[in-house]
Amino acid sequence: MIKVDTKYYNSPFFAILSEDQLYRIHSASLEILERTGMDVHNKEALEILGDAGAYIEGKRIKIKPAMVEKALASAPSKIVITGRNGNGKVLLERNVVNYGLGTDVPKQIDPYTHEVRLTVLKDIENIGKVVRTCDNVDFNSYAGLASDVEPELQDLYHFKACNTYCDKPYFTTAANGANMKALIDISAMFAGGYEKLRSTPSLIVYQEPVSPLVLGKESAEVLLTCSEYGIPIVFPPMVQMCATGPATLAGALAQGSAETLFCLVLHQLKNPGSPFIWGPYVSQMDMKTTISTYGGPVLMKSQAALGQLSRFYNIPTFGFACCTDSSDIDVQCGVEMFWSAFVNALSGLNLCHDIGYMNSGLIFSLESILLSDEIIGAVKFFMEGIEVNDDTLALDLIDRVGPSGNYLAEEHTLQYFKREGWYPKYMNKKTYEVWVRENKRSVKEKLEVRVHEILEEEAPSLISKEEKKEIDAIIKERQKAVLEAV
Amino acid sequence: MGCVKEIAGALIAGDADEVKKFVKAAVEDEVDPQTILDQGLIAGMDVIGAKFKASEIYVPEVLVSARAMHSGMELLEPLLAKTGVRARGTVVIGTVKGDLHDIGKNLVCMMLKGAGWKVVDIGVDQPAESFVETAQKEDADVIGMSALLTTTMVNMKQVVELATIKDCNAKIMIGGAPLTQSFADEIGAQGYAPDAATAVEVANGLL
Ligand code: B1M
Repeated sequence: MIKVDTKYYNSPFFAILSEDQLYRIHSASLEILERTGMDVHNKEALEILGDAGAYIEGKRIKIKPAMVEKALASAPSKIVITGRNGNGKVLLERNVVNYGLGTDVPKQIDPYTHEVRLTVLKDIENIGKVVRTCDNVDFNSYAGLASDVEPELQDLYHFKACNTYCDKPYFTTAANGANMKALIDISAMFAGGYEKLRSTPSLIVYQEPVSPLVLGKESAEVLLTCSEYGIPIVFPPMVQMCATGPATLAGALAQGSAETLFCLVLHQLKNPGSPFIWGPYVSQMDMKTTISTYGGPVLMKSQAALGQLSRFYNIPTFGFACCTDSSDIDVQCGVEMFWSAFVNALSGLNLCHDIGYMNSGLIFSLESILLSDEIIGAVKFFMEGIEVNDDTLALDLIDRVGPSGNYLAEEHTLQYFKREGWYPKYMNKKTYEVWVRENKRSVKEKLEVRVHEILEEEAPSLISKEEKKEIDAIIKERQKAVLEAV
Repeated sequence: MGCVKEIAGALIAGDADEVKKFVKAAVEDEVDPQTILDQGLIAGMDVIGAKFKASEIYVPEVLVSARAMHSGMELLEPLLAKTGVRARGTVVIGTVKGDLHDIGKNLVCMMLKGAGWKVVDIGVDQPAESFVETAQKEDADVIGMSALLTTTMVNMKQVVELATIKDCNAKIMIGGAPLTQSFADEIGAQGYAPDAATAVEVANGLL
């Protein structure tokens, strides 16, 4: 007997747009690029685009569809980032979802006093400590802004602090081309040279154009530097519907997509084949409070659409997961974090960042990293789908146990209960009576306890004394250059 | 006098045509232009401002009312100029040096305009000189600064210092996501607003 024509899913699937709707958004982006164009405030970028045949009207650059198609053809569809010591991997390609932290949150919830205060360098070290313990977090980032170092060199200090206890792939911004070069120098030191860094990059860079339709001087510098050195870069515009983009999702997606494609064109012209991660942020400005929303269904709709668009372009894409507009670890935080992680997975986004972001990216906390880790674990479990085969159907077992029997002591149970079940670290699965007897501990309290444990555990520094010295020397050199510039 | 109340009502309803109609009627009735402005237009916008602050209405609705206010102002302005009545106040506003974020600033501008202020928007990435020089040129009551980056908020202090050096007596108001009241106190800014609705109240309070 053979069973024929059976189709098995390894994971659930989901789509928000039809192929024709996708094509219309793509086509609209091309029209924006050719008809409206973008303003570019960087000389090198203007030259590169001009030489390649873009229409130049002063700072306004308009791009032909053929230029976009050429860039799409040369951009890689697969990017691999490995932690600087070979630990941890981010694989950016179709159908692979990676989760990790974001950058630049000005405030932190203090892990001991719970007061919301400015971030300091020590917090960033602690972030690395916590991320190291999170199996479901694929990449690390500094997620804060150290208020106790020179602002011009923050990104360099962040590198050192954030990577002290964690050597997963590192996600970072850079203030300008020179700081970007310094970050590349540091990473090349770990990799054993620039060529090695180019072949196995350990960092991903994040910079942004200015919506609507502007490419700034510094961010273009960073884009071009990364292109030159083959460092993966994500370059998302922040399209806030009603403010920096139309109030309608279709229009906002088309504009965000156009802005990203424009930057891709420039990036690929500088160094064809250099790794680029696609994907704008498109979300709602809340018209009651004027916040730029990081949680809720509007961002999720756009994320779902962007997942599809990126597969259409066959370029790895950017996602926003486990972020919330809430300022506390509360019900809203749980809801928004969970379903963003879930929709990112369902939509097949590749580089899903900003986990643990609270208060629309203005507050961060160590507890929120651990909560994200748990949530991502649940999502991963769901996305593994249902294994259907003779063994999992267990017909012999069902027959043997029969009516009124039980499965508790069965070998099959022992074999499968962990794999087919889900066991959270922090969510409450206790009976009411036991929960009351154990002082009604909330998820939030459990997260706090775990954070304290992690912070108090001895953790070995993953940067050697010699490496620290080299980093310090590179920072010093930049310091000198900054001082000379003023 | 009856028309003045109706101006406020029409403005709250966001009906530009009605606002114009009632302003015209009030002018024909020879109601004092200052009264039309204060008890009609500005009183109406104050209600809108309070509703917005209480999250009862949305930004676009505030802007519709603000537009209605401006259509009333158009009729009133020539009369106000003649009698020497000024706008509620003049504010010079911009985003500080090194900072390109402007949505928050733009919203604050719209709200202040709606509340009857003359707003001079100098744009983003502005050095201290341009805040102070523009304020002196415009004889401004308030200098408003916005910053969204912890790296650029420090530039606000230079504006406060330059204003003192240059004998510019405009009051200073600041805002933007990373800022706090204590930062305002620290740099010697007289006003701080966490959002656009509060910005109007704070600016009014500085007069
Ligand atoms: C005068 O009196 C007053 C009174 C009240 C005032 C006032 C003045 N000004 C504001 N207010 C108050 O009233 C307003 C209305 O209620 C409010 O204004 P807001 O501006 O707060 O609110 C707006 C209505 C909506 N909010 C916004 O428009 C800001 C939203 C977020 C997501 C944001 C955006 C959109 C952008 N960004 Co930027 N951006 C973020 C923001 C995160 C966040 N949640 O705030 C933030 C501010 N950005 C950040 C960063 C790091 C950056 N950004 C950058 C760029 C951009 C874009 C250009 C892409 C875009 C701005 C587009 C534009 N035209 O403005 C870069 C810097 C560029 C530069 N030199 O300025 C870049 C450095 C990123 C990079 N690596 O490229 C972070 C700041 C970190 C810090 N240093 O403090 C950030 C918190 C996001 C994050 N968590 O990473 C109040 O603050």
